[in-house]
Amino acid sequence: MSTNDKDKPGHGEGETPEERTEIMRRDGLMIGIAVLSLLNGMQFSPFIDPAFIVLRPFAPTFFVSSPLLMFYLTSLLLGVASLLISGVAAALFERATGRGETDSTSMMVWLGAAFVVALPSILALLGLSG
Amino acid sequence: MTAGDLLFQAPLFQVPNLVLAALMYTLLGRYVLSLFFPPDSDKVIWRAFRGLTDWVVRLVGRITPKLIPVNLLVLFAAVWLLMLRVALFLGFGLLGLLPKVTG
Repeated sequence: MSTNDKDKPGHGEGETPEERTEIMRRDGLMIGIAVLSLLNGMQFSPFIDPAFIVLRPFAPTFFVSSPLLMFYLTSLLLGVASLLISGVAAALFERATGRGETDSTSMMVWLGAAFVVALPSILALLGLSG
Repeated sequence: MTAGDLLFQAPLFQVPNLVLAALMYTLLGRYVLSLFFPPDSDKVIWRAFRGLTDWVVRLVGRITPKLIPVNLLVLFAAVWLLMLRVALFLGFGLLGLLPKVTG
């Protein structure tokens, strides 16, 4: 890609091709992290039933009375919790290496941690869990 | 048995649970306010919500990748607090220290 490509419509101003590649790579990694995190909130996840039971006493604090809504809330919370817990590894990596911002390497760490957190759900999805 | 009785029956569980719940709702309130106020607003309600929750957001910022913007960090902090409340509930439940509600 030549440097003149920057002037074409659809490209951010002042971004080099390397920066654009980095942004696209980060977007792809973000989608992967989101998908892996969402897996933990799916109905086949081994975490969904225990989480549903544990969160039941907290349902009134969210003004939720319907079991169906509670199921959706449990699914959402499990997905977000997986995202947050796997993000801890990336955050610690960023601080340990003195990174000023999240780059694709630390997002790969995040993706790896998300994979580990989602592993029981992946195994359940593939029918490989005991 | 009234709610007040429950509070005094198991203060070790109820007091941290209430503090965590209050912080969680304050964070949710701060998120809603952030939709209407600029980050550097000098309005009293905004400064009060920020003053009460800034330390939690800073703490959560340490265990969250820097990619996450501050407004989203506020929501993440609320979810962390909910997880802490669940952990507290489970911990006290396993120790048999949760207050019993009899009908």
